[in-house]
Amino acid sequence: MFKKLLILLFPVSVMAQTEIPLNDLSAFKNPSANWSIEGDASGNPNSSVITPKAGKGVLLCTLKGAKYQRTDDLRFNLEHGDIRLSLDFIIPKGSNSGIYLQGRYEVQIFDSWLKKVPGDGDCGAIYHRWDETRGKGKEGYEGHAPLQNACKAPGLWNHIDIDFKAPTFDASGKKITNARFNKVVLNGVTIHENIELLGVTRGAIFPEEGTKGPILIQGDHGQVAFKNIRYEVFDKPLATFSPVTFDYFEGKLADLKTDKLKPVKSGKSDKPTMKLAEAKSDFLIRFQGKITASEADNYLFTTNWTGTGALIVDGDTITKGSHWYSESVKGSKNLSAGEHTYTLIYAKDFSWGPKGLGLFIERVGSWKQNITERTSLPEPEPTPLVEVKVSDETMLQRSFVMFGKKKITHAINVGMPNGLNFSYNLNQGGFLQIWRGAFLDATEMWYERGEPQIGQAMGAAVTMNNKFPLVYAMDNNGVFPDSSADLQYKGYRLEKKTASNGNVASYPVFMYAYKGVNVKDQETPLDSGEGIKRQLSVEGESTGKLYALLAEGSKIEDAGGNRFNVDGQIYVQTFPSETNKPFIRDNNGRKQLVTLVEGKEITYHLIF
Amino acid sequence: MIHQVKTKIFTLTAAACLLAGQLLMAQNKPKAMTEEDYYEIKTLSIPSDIKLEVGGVAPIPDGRVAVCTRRGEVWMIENPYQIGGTVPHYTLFASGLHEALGLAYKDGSLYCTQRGELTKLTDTDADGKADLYECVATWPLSGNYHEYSYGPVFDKNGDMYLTFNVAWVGYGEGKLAKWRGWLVKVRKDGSLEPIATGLRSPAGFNINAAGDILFGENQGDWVGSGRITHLEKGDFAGNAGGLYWTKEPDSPLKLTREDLPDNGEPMYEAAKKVKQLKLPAVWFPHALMGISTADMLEDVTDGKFGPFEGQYFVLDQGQSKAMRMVLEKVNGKYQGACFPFRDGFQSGTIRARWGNDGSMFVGMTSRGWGSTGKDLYGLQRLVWNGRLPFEMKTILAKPDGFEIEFTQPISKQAAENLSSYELKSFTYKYHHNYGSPIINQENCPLKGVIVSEDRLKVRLVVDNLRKGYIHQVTASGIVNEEGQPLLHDFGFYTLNDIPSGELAKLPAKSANSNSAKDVKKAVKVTEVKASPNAPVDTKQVMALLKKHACTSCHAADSKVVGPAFAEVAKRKYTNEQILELVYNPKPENWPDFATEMASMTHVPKGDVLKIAAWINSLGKKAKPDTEKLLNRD
Repeated sequence: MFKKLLILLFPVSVMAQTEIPLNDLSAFKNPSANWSIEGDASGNPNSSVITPKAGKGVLLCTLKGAKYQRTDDLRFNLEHGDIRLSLDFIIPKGSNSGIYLQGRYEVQIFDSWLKKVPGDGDCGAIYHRWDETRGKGKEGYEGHAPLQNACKAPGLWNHIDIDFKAPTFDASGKKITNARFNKVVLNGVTIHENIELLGVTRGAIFPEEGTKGPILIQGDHGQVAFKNIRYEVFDKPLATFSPVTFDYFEGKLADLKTDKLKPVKSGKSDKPTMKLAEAKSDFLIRFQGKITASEADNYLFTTNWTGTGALIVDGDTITKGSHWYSESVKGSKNLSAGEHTYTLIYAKDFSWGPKGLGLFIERVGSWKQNITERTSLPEPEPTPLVEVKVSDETMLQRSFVMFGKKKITHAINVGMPNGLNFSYNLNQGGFLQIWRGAFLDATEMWYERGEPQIGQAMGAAVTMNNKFPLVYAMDNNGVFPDSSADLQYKGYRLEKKTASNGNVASYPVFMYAYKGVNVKDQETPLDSGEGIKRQLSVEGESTGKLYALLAEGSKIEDAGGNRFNVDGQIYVQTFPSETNKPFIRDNNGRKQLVTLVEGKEITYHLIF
Repeated sequence: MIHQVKTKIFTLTAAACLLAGQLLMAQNKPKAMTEEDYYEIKTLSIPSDIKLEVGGVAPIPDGRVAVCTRRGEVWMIENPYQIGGTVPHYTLFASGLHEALGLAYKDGSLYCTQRGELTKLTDTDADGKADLYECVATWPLSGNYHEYSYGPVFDKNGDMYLTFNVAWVGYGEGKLAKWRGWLVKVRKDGSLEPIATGLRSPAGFNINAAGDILFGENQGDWVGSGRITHLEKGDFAGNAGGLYWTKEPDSPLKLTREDLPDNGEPMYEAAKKVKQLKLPAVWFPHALMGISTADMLEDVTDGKFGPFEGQYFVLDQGQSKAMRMVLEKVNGKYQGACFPFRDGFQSGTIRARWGNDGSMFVGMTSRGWGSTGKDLYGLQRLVWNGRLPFEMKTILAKPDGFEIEFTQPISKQAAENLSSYELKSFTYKYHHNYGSPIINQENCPLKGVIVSEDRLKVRLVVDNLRKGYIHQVTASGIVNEEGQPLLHDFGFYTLNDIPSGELAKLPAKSANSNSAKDVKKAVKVTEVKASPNAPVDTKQVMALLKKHACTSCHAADSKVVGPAFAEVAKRKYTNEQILELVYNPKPENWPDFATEMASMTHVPKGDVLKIAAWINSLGKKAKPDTEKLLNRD
C-alpha cells in the first residue's frame, strides 16, 4: 500500500534559472567578429552553414577569418563555480565547438550525427586532457565519451543540461575535491553522471584549477548557434548547524504528544539521526537544535521519514504528517540572518518498513544540504534495468507509451537494426515518437508486476503528432482528426528487406481499413541511416481526394530541396511531382505540411 | 564426467537407504506413498537466455508445443517430450506482444491474447517465424496493469471466448474500460459479445466436453475464497466491478451494483435475492486448498492421465500445484468437490494444456506474485506413471449425505468404523471486502456408513447437511486392502443443492452411534491459556502448522507466499498480537508480499497461541539479547 506511493512522488527542487539575454553581445567579454546576434537560425543536414534570420535571441558564430584563433572563443562575463547550465545549440555539418565550464573543462559540441560509437571527441563528450610529455600519440588522456550518441542532425536544435561542481581548495590552496560533472543530459538522454575530472581538459584557458572562471564557448572551428542560455549558480553560503539535544521515548506516539511522558533516554548528538532510536518501532525521538542562517532569505526544508513526524522552526510547523521514507515533504520559511531554533520529531508506531529520518535545507543559489547524519535516511532500493536490445533483426515491442500525460494503451515500439526507433499508436496509425540509439527500457513493464507497463525510449526522442496521416477530402481544407471511428486496425505483416550492407531484416507493414479502402503503412530505415522512410499506400476507392499530413508543428520552414524543417526538431523530405507540391497551412494556430496524394501511394522521409 | 560418477554414487547410496527402509518397514506398516509415486513432474530444460515467463501453452498436433510469455514472446518448442533423454529446441516464433497470457492453436495459426488484442499469428513464408500478426479483435484498456486479458478458448463451433480482469485501484474496478470483468465471445467480425460478468481475476477458464464454460476465480473483493463457476449467458459471478457495463444495450443482464446486498451474509443467501448471482460449482477453500486459482483442464485423455477421466485438474499459482475437481449435476446445476492432487511444481503454475501423449504441460511464472515453487518461471510436464493411486475418486451428494467412491477397494473394517470419518461445513461472507474469514462452521455428525459390495464406495449418512455450504469430508481412517491410507484423505464438497432420491437404509447397529448434539462442537473454541514462558513443543506445532495449512504459505526460515516465521518473530509481537493478526491479518504490514493473507478465524485460539509461542521462540534463538524488548509490554 505504502509502496505504491513511491511511484507517484517525484522530488522537486528549487529552480531559479537566470537567462543570459541575447539582445546584444554585452554578456560577453570582447567578442570577436565571428559572433553575432540573430533572430533565428536553421540549417540543413548536408550543409556546414547555418541560415540566420535577423532579430534577437540567437547567438551565432560564423567564421570570418582563419580557423583556430583562440581570440574567437567567446568568453562570458559570468564567472562561476558550481553551476547548472542549460542551452540549445545547432551544430552544422562538420562543425566543432565546445562549452568550457570555468574556461577549463570542456563539454564537446561536435557534428557526431550518425556515429555509432561516440568517442571522447564527440558531441557531449567531456573532452580529454592533453600532456605532450606523455609521448606522441598518447598526449590525450582522461577523456569521457558520452554514454551514448544523442546528437541530432546538423541544422536541428539540440538541448543540453550541464550540472557542474567546481573543485574545492583548502586555505593553503591545496585541492580538496575534484571538479565534477554531476550530470550531463543531451536531448533528454543522460550522457554522464558523477564524473570527476582530475585536471583541466585540453584547450583550457587557465592551466591551473580554481574556484571560479568564466564560461567559454569555442568559436574558432566552424559555425555554431545557441539560444535559451540559462544558468543557476550555487555560490551562496547556506547555514551552519549546532549539535542537537535529543529526547527518546518509547510507546505508540504517532500523535507526537509527549507532555506527560518521561524520556527513556536524553542526550546530545552532533547531528539528528534515526540511529539514536533503539527500538525498531513504537518510539518517538525529538531533536532540538539551532540553525544559523548566513543571510536573510526564503529557505526550503525537505523532510523524510517512515512513520509520523514534524519539523518546527522558530515555533512554526514547516512539515508534518505520516509518510514513507522515500516521500520528500517540503516546506519553506523566511529566515533572518542569524540563529534559529528547530525541533525535529520522529515517531514510528508500526514495525514494518525501515526506520528513516532525513532533514535537508536549501535556498536559491545553494546546494541542498543534509542536516541529519548521512546514514539516517536509507537509500532507495536499487532496481535493475530491463532493456530490449536490437541486433541484426528489427525488434517490435508493444507496451503502454506516454504521449504527454496520456497513456497510449495500444502502442508498439519498433527498433530497427541501424539504431532508428519509433513508437506508434496502433489504434491511430500515428507516430508517437521517433528516436535514434538504444531501443527500449522495459523496466517498468518487466520488473516485478510492472504496474506502469510503460516502455520508454532510451535515446533522444522527438515527439510526433499521434495522427493518422491520411484523409479523404473535397479540397485542401480537409481535417485530420485526432481520432477516427472510420479507422480500423487490421494487424501488421513483417516484410523482409535487404539493406545496402547486405543485412536482411523484417520491417512491419501496418494494415488498416479506412473508409472502404485498405491502407498499408510501412516504415523502413534509410540506408544512409539518416532517418526513417514512411510509405503509405491505399487499395480500393473512396469518395473525395486523398490528402496526406506530412508534418505538424508550430513552425515549418522550407529548408530547400523539398525538405522542410519542423520546429528545428526534424526534417521532412518530400518527393513532389512538377504539378503537385506539398503546402504549409494553418490549423488552429499550428502549421501543417499537407500534400495531395496522386495515385495510390505517398512516400516521405523523416530525418533527425 | 566427475559429475556423472558422483550422481551414480548418490543413486546407489539412495537405493541402499531405500532398501534398508523397506526392509525395516515390511515388518510393520507399508511404506507411506507420496504424490510423486504416481504422478511424475518432468522439467523441460530452458536455454539460459530465455525468460520463459509462461502466459499461454498450445500443444501442436505435430508434437511441438508453443508457449507465449509475459514478455510477449512466442516460443516454438520442438521435442518438448524430451524422448529418450534428449533436449528440446526453442525457436522464437513471434515477439513483441503485450503481456501475452493465452495461446491456442487452430488450423496452422496461433491465436494469442495480448492485453488489448486477440492476435492471429501465421507463418506465411514457412521460415518458422510468424510474419503476419492479424488483429482478430481489439478492446479498450485504461492503462491499469491489472486489466489482464485471457484466452482464447475455442468452442466446438470454432468461436472464441475471452475473459477480462477488472482493474485494481485498491479494489476491483470494471468501469475504466469496456467489458472489464466480463466473459466475452468473439463474433466473426471481431466484435465482442458480452456473455456474463462478475469476474474479478479469471486467469483460467475452460469449455468442457458438454460445451459448458467453467471459470476459475481468485479470492479478493466480493470473493471470499477461490472458486470455479459455470457461466451461462446473463450470469453474474459475484464481483461488482463489471456491473458498470450492464447499462450497455447488448448486455444480457441489467443488474447493478446497488442491487447487491453487501452485508456479509453467505453468497447462497445473497443469491436468493439476486437471481442473476451464480453460485460457484465448487469452492476451493482459501489456504486449505489453494490461494490463487489459475488454469483448469478436463481429463479427456481417455485414461492416459490415470483414473480420473471426466474430472478436472485445477492449478493454483501461489502454491505451485494442481488440484482435482469432480463435478456432478444436481437438479440441472453443476456442483461438486475438490481434492488436493499434486504439488511441488517449480514456479507459479498458471497455465495447463494436455500434451499429445496425455501428459499435462504446466506453464509457470511467479514474477510479481510469489509462489511456493522458487523459480521465477518454468515449464514442466506432469506424467502419470501407470500406477494407481489410492484416492477418493469422487464425492457425490446424496439426499441424506454423501457417497465416496475410491480408486481401490477399501478395508471393510476401517470403512465401517464411523471414527474413520470427520465431516464439517462452513462458508464465506459475500461482501465488497477483500476475502473472508471462514464463517458458520459446524459439525456434520455421521449417522452411519454403508460399504458397497465391491468395497469401492461408501455411503455416508450425515446430519446437519446445509445447502450452500462447503462440506469438508475427511476420511483419514480409510485404508485399502494392503493397509495403505489414502494419498489425500480429505475433500471439500460444495453443497448448493441436495438431490432427491432414495434414502440409505442403515443397518440397525450403526444408526445411533453419533448424534446431533455434537453439531456445534467444531465452532467451540478450546480455551487454552498458552503461557508465553511455557516450553514450546515443536513437534506438536509442526503438526498444527500442517493441519491448519499455515505451511502452504509460510516456512520457518524462507519466504514462500508469505513471510518466514523467523521474519514474523523479528516483529516482536506478543502471542496475543499474533493471534489478533491471524484472525484479522494486516497485509499492509508486509508491503513486499504480493499475496494478502486471509483471515484464519476458524483456527482455534489455543492452536494459534501455541503456534505464536513457537514463532516467538524463533526470535529468541536468533537474538537472545532482544529478550528485554520482547517483554517490554
